[in-house]
Amino acid sequence: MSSQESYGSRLPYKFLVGLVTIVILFLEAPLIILVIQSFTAESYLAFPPPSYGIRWYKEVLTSEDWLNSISLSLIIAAVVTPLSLVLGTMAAFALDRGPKKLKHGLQTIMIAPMVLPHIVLGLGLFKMALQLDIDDSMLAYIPAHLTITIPFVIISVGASLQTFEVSLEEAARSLGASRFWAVWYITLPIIRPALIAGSIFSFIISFDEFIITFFLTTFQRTLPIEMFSTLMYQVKPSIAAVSTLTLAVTAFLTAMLILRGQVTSGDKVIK
Amino acid sequence: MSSVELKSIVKKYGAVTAVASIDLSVESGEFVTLLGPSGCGKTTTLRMVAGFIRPTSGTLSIGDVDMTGVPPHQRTVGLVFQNYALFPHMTVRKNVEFGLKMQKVLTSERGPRVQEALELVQLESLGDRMPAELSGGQQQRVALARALVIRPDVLLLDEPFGALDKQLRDHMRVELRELQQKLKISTLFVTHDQDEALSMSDRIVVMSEGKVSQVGKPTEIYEKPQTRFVADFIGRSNILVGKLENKGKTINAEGLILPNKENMTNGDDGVSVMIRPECVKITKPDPKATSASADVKGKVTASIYLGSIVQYSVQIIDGPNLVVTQNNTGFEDLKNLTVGDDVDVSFPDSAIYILPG
Repeated sequence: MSSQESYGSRLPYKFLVGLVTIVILFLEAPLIILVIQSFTAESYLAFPPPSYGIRWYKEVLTSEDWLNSISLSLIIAAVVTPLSLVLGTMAAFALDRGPKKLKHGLQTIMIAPMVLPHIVLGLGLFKMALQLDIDDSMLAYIPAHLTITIPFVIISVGASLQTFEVSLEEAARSLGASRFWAVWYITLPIIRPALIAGSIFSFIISFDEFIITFFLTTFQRTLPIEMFSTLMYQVKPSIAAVSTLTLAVTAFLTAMLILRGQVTSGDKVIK
Repeated sequence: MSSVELKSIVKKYGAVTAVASIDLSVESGEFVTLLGPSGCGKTTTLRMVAGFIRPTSGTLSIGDVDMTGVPPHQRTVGLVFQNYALFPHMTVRKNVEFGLKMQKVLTSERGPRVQEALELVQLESLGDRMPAELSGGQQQRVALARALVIRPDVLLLDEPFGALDKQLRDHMRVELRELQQKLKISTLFVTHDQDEALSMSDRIVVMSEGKVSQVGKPTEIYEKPQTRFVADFIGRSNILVGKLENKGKTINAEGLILPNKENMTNGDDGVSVMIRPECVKITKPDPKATSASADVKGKVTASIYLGSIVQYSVQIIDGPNLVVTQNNTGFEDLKNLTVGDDVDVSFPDSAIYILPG
């Protein structure tokens, strides 16, 4: 109420609500249309669909091509996520606790892959994978995905280490815990929300990655690549169904992230 | 046996010397306070005893065992931080138990020891609370219990009352001192608060710029400061620059002629004289008396009401400006003193202290 009044009259407030609604619709409408289209019973994409059914979901979940690409993407993400978490957390600790002089330079280098044009990164990784003869294999995908997922872990864990009270670790050490056990019993449980956030980011980014992986694959297809190559020569409703499935996974994980954030920030554990 | 002994301990950070050769010992069961302004090296010294900072040179022993290069977790010290540093994700009981768990005390033994520690600080009923659910004073007690439960060789306290309000601070001061004496635990206490140092310590180590200025009992530190720094830092004091006159029998302190009762000299004729504000007495001039009845006359230039005491600035005629405090006894004659009033100033000879340094 009071925030409403602080804008003065009610007219600008209504205008604001209208504007926000339009922006949200603009952002979400393509997704909503896609989701609705995925439930079509016809053999072509139309909006609104003349009839509804789960025909295309059945098709996707029985097609060997789709299932192979889905499982490849899931396997990559499942391997990348824990590796990304461990390596990123270690890097964040090193940046936070290491020599201050090196911090800014090193941090920039480690976070760069996140903001560098992925097409450039992809090209570089492609060259390297060819040289090492590891292209079109896990050995290429996993390090490639790690280069872009680790920065997210570094950022989320780094931010929480910055506000972490180091005296808690010192208290643990004075009570007989070595550095490692102090971090294990005290620091990690306290920064858990950041660890979870970093993991979820890593999973989503790996699962969704297209550009870099595209450079590295020849015969193997991750889900985004399968979707892209299917689109190249035909637009079938199965694309909409797969997209909706991908959307569901991502939305679920994001929701967990947001929910976690609320739970922890409202938690009495945090001072 | 001494619990903690520091010999020629030096800590340098590059070109900056944080601690410049300190010798210090805490005897068994003794309560020693490191007192000094911020940046004097007291916390650095404490952190070296705890093991978080490695001395640049010198040796450090705890319980007569050389600990100079030993990491913190292999020393048995109980450390209490200013912010308590309670583990926010553990209950009070788990907090206190942590040290026992790390030291691999049997699970069956831990319960009774945690209980005992909590009883010591009168928190036995709050074992299942989370730290955030406790008041500042209760958190302070948990921190103390957590440090004591491991039966440390020495208890280290780093400004433990800094975050408490004044009343609670005064209360905790008494409580901590009683507990320390009951357990006869050697304690090294760091503070910048002279009241805490004076009221709790067996011995006080006054530090300044990484060096020890003076070591002594609270009474020695307050009444017989060895340096101008100590005289200035502990309590309020008037420090006057004096010159020996009359073949050393009197001191001319900025125009105030004082007797040189102990025939103190300081190499040349220059001396520093300390007069504590509470030792000076001011009275309204007696109108019936002749003008010669009082030796020293002055004029009140400022008065600050502090409740139990009133602090005056008195400009001595042809002399220095003295800070004078008077107990607020409620007697009207002093209460009515205001800025601009003439006063007679007197102090016993024993109030005149000549600084050796």
